[in-house]
Amino acid sequence: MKRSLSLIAAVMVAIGGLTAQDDKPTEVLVFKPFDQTKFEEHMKKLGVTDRQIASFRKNVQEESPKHAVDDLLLASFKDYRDAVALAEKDDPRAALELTKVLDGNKDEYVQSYARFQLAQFFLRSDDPEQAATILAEFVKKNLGTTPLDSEVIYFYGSALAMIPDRERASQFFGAFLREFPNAPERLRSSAAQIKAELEQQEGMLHDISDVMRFCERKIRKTDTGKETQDKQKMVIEELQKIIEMLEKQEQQGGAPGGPGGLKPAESSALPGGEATKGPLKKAPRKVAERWGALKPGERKAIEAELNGKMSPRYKKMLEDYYKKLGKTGPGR
Amino acid sequence: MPRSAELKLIQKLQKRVLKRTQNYDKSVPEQLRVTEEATDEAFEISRKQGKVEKLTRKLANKINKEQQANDN
Repeated sequence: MKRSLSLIAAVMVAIGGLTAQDDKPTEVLVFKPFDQTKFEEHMKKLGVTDRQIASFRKNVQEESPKHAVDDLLLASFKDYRDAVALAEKDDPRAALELTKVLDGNKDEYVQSYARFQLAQFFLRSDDPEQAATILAEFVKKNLGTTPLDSEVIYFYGSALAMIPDRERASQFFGAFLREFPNAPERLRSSAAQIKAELEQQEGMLHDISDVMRFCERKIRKTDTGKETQDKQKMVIEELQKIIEMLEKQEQQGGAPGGPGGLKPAESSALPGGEATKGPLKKAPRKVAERWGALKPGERKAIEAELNGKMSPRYKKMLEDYYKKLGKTGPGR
Repeated sequence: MPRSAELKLIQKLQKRVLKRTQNYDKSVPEQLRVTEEATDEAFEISRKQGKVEKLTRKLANKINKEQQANDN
């Protein structure tokens, strides 16, 4: 049975970057349960044996459909297996290898899982923008194919919260809670908690905090140029406006933060979307450190691959990713 | 402490972080930003920026709660 969800999804938005957020299309997401029979038939056509199918079914029962599908895909597709092995070691080359799988392997199940793995890898690399881009692709192209839907919606919400894009993050967490009542409890309680926190964060001061977060991450990546400084100046100017407003209220004996106090989201000059990108927590530096540990030849090999046959969209994504990683990693 | 005074303090801290960001940007050339010293310094400025953000967020939450209480 199909379940439908009305959601301002902005699904197509993140494709090609998050800058197009203003042109959000309204889209109805349709969630379908994973079709195990269809998957088994598909894998049999690819040469999977009856014994492997029996083992797959056992895995579905004993572990979960998500892991069982993954195991069978790992056993059947070398390119996917090699890329995942790198991702599990937090090796920076994983981003390139998973993207090559996306670009070259046309199997819809492998595509779905490679996207999911790549998004997770980006999240572990403190790169929620790239993760959101890939998860948006998943929502657009792979929803209803694998048992990953619930986690994809959860992690999409997480990536958006980290950016932070509060409104959309809250929508995706809401969708996750509504549509996937049987998702793991740890994810459900986390989604409920983050959603509640996001919904509390209304008003100009929260908008200002979001811009500060954006600056925090930019600076951590040694990106201290004009864009970062302009945002910091903007924060100072916006604080000045609020201070003057409050001083007037205080002189008139009004309640601090009273009517019209700090609510006026519509009067804030702070930009949304692009301007509010930033982390929720301290960056994991593991992947970046491993980038520094790569031999110069290995880094050169990655660069050479980027200049090879790769679709321009993914090429740009990876160039941005490795550029940022190179900055945060120790010594090149 | 009046709210305006709290915000003035936050603004002052933000100005300091801006100053450090500008100094860093001027004094550390792009090609040296991969050195441990440069990344550590950036990390420290980023940490300060994070502290200002947390203070602001805390105040924002406090004000929102007060507003909710007033609305009720």
